[in-house]
Amino acid sequence: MTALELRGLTKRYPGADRDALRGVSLRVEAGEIVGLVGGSGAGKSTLLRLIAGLETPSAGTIIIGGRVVCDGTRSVPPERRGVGLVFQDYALFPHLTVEANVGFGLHRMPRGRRRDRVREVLELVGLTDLAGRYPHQLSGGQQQRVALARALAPEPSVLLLDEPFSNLDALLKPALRDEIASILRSAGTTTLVVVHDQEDVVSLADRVAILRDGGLWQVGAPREVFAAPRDDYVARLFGSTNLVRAVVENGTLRTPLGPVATPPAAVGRDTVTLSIRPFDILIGASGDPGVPATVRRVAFRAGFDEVELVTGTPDYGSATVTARVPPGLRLTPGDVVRIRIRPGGVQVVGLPGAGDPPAPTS
Amino acid sequence: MSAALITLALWVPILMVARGVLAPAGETWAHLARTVLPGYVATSVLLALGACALAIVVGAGTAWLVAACAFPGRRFFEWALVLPLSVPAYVAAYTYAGMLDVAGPVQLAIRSLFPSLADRFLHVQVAGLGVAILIFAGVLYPYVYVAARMSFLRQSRTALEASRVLGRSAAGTFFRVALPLARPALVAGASLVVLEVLNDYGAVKYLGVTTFTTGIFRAWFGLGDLNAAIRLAAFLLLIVFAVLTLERMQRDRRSVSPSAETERPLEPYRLRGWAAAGAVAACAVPVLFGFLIPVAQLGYWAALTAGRVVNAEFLLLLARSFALALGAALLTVVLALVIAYAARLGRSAFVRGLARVAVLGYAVPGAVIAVGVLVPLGALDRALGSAVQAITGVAPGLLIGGTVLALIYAYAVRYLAVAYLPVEAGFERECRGLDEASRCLGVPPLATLRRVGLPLLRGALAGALILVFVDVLKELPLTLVLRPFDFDTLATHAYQLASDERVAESANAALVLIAAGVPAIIGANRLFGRSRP
Repeated sequence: MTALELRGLTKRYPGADRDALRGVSLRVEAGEIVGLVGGSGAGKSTLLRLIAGLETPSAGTIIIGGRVVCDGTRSVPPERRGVGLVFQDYALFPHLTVEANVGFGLHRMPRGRRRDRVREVLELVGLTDLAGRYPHQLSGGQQQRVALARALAPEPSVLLLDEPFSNLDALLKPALRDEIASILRSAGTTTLVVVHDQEDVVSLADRVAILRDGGLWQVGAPREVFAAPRDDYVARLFGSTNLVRAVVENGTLRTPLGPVATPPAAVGRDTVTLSIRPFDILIGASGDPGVPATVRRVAFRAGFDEVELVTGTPDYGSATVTARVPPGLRLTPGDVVRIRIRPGGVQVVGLPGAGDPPAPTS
Repeated sequence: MSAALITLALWVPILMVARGVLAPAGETWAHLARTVLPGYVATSVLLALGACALAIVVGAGTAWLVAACAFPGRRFFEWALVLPLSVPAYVAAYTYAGMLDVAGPVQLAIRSLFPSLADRFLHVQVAGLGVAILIFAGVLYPYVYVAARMSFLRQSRTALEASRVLGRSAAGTFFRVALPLARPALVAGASLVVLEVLNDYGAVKYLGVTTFTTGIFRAWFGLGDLNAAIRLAAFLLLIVFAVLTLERMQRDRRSVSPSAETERPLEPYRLRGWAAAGAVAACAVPVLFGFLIPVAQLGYWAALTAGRVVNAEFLLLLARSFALALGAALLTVVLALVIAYAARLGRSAFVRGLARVAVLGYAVPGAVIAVGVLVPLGALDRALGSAVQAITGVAPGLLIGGTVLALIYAYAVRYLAVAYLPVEAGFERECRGLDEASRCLGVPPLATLRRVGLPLLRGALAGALILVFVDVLKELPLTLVLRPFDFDTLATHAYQLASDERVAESANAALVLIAAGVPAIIGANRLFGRSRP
């Protein structure tokens, strides 16, 4: 069953010279969690605000649970849409306790029933002990969970989360993300979540929808999109990567980093752009297999070294790539090493049948 | 919808005046235009520019001293420098006139110090354009001071720190960095000074300076020509809008974006020796002449006359003034809340535009609003009157015009901005996304206002109420025109006594006005120094 359907959603803010969103169409099935990804200004937050009813679209239709809440002529106000929204800065009411915050949207429920529901949701997010506290007495992670509990309490037909992890410090984030994921799964609510990095997408979402310049750019399961990004924009959204040109020849791909077996997505094309993740470049000593490369720069990073390498062979062409290697390797600029691609470590950029992509911009 | 109606209603008086330009000019007008109009324009412009220039020198200079330099008494001057704003210009005018009078304390002191002068009566006349400029600058410079200080402390603080790290002295940083960066704030503060000067009636009348405002009163009460008064008011309105437009234009061009607002104090330049003494003197002079001397004089007079003046009638006057001001303040704050919330719900760009326009009422001089209120209320009264007469057979006389209702309506028109801006700022600051969060949880707009808006806005609403209360309490020109027959407020009472050369008696009411103003001004300065129009 379709829980949320968007048809040709377009939004232009007054005075703006271009659309914040243009013609976005998307169906979200009941219980599904969809991650929205895109660079800043791609229209992610605008999309959420339109669905919540906090903005009125310039054109298009929004259908929630089979009910048209917005089309060209009328727009159901936010309080009658049955949509839950978790704000980026949580927007907890500072003058109310945790309990009152969570019960805020249950004003149509009789008192006893309301108290039960609040306890139930607080249990779900594991905050029963903090019911009497005020928001300013909570840590960032706790505030986050209160905001989630408040949005879930009225049992919204669709839950929207706007960059839920952007205000959390790096140490806290992984644990909380997994916890939120499991809360969302157990609540079983249809969810649209704006996320920033690939790890959030992979751990949270059943499907990922990529926005670019206000348009829906690519939609699919995270694994599919990661393996077959539509273009270099999508490839880069999934983390830092090396984009190189390769020639398809007799069943193999000739890349500047040596030959690779042709992945199915490259069959039938002459040249392709490949995305090679820094962790998928293997560095060996001069006797090892691979193409020769010169170390140009080595930068210390937390947990690994980032190495910039220049390759260049008459057979395979030249390229500058970045690899991530264990810090024990102790490379210095000027060293000559041999590099190759980890088996299965290439993704073909561009949709099948889309023709040759334009040369990647670096 | 109702918000749109409210804003429209608040706009009626101003539209009435604006329409006056189009009405056929009467004979009086032709006469006025030939004889006195050029004089009104020249005097008003000279007065406004003079007061404004002096206010910028005093306001920006003292703001820089207390914001960026360390010297003895700096903490005290930080708040003491806003005090002169609590002294109405007309009170300052007749206080100084009384002090320098032949029988005033200054001449008495001179005569007792120099017995050889005992039989000479210096005829010092506190009157004329120059004196008016001094008096307006003396009580209005805090507008510039507050805006400039905020700018130094907030917007440009990192630039100031950079200038310092690059080796600039206090004076060098002031002229090369602080002043250019503070220009928008200075202009904003200075335009408030100009608007207040244009609004004034009491001080210029007392000092014998004929400006637009006095011209409006003369055309109306002297010549009895309402039409000419409307045209003069329309002319004044034009000048006001020119000032506002200039202010807005330079604001749009500013390229400095405010940096993060931290309350970390700016590391001050330490002044020693003569420099420190000079700073103390520079800050002491405005406080002394703008506040301490007139208040001390008023206090002395009040002590002399209180026995005669403060009686049951005076207390009744006090109660009536306070009740009127409180009523007007309550109404204005409620209207401001409705309009600000409607603008925030933002469904209609129409309401938002109207709100932005209704706020301009504060810029419109009281005399103009008074003229604009009388015309539609007169028409309404005639219509109501004939309706009542048709039904009951008795002519009821004035029902609204000439009553307290008309007065309160006019106050709301003029002071909406004073309430609106803090309320709007309160929504911005306290509610950010919270009202949206409430809506998403299924709570409709009115319930959201009750459950989220009001609890969070308590401080802003109280602040707005106090500001409007004090402004209404000391409002003179509007009250003079629109008050019911034989109805006095503290302001009109004090002004009337002073005009009748009973300055010492007027001190009691004037002191009450100042005493009410001081805490409000200090509180406002601390709460939302920047949000006054």
